[in-house]
Amino acid sequence: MTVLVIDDDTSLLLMLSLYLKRAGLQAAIASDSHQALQLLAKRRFEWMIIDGEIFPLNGFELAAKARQHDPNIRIAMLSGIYKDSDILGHPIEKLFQKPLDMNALIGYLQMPPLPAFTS
Amino acid sequence: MPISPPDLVQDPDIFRLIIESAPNSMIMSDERGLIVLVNAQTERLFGYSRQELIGQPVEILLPESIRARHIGYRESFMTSPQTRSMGVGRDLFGMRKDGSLVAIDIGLNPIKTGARTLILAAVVDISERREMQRKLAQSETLAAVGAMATVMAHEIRNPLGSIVMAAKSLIAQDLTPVEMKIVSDVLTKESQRLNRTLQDFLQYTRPRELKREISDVNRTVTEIVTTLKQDPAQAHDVNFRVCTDQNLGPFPHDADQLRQVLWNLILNAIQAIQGRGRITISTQADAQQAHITVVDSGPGLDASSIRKIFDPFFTTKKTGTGLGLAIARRIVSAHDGVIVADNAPGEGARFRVTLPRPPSPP
Repeated sequence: MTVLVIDDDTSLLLMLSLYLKRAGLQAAIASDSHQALQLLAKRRFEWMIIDGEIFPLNGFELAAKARQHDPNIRIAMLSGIYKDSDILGHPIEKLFQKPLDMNALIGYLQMPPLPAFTS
Repeated sequence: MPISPPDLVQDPDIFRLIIESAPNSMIMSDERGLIVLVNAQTERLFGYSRQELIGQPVEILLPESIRARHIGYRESFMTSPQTRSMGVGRDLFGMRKDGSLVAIDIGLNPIKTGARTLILAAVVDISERREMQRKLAQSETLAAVGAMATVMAHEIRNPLGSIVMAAKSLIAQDLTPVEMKIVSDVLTKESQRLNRTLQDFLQYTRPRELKREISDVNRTVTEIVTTLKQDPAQAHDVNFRVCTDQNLGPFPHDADQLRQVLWNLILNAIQAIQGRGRITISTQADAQQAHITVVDSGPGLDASSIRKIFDPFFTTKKTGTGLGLAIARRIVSAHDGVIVADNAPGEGARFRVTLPRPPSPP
């Protein structure tokens, strides 16, 4: 399973990448939305994990662009400020609050998509 | 026939009418401090009838705790009576007949009639104004505490999150050397970040006293820029321009604290240009002041940021305590100097520090 993680907090990015790789997932990292879009153009990812407050496009804008680019990509958001209700209406299927529960995050990534997100 | 102003004052009936129709409480007392005249507003404000007040010492209208002191103030006022407001900068209270206190402002006017000097006091009820000020101060305090909580939560929770993840990853026995290095770097970097946050916070809330020694601002500027140029991680793509005024000789100031101000301004400028662009630092001397200006080639400041940029915990960045410029302002103010932010024409944000140059001690 391939995962693209986008966060401007380098330490968190490194730790996420380490955990994902050790769980057997292939992780690529980007520290801003520009880098993320460049990586998306180059290869296909099954999952994208976006920090809500990235720059210059915020997490919601980047999610919309990514979904436009790849209708099958699954998207999760990480945030210390947004709530579950904030992702409604966006192509984001799950919000993970910071500080992250890595077991929950990795467990969720390996679950099959919910029906609402497969149509 | 029109009445001339002197007639007005000399006619006791007209004088009483003027006092009676005043929008504020008016109290006239004699040399001994005994009340000789009050108006309807006084009755309304203090709850006494005028019959109860006439002939009483003015202290009847004051809280018991300050009556004795007031007699002293009153007697010293009578030795050189001048029109003035009472208790500037102090909280004044009157006491009503029912014992309740009322916040007041008092203007004192000596009135000379022949050999006598009477005192006319104009008393304004400022309890509403006080209450509004109190509510405003309370809401400002709450807003500041809220801003502090948000910043501290972010600046503590995020590094802690990474530290916890790094620590937990150490449970695995089979980390590769590369992975161990990543974990160790994250632990170090994020602990240092927490320490910096704490330092900023302490420095803002418990500032050091100034140690003024004769130092050279031009040299401080040059040293900072030289240090930054040697740090590719911070300033690889920054074009620094330094223009120092050679007429700005050494003068007494706290060089360590001024260095902190300039570091904060220059690091702020580097962040404003996202590490890429031009930063111009210039110094200038005039007869009594030193001026230091930091201009960046970034996007500049919007009007709302200019208003709030020195407020503690205000930040336009995603990370950071929002204390760097607040600390800078505090240090500059401690030197009796001024720091202002605006946009330089054709450039980005401009910060100007002006410090007085006190004469060097012999």
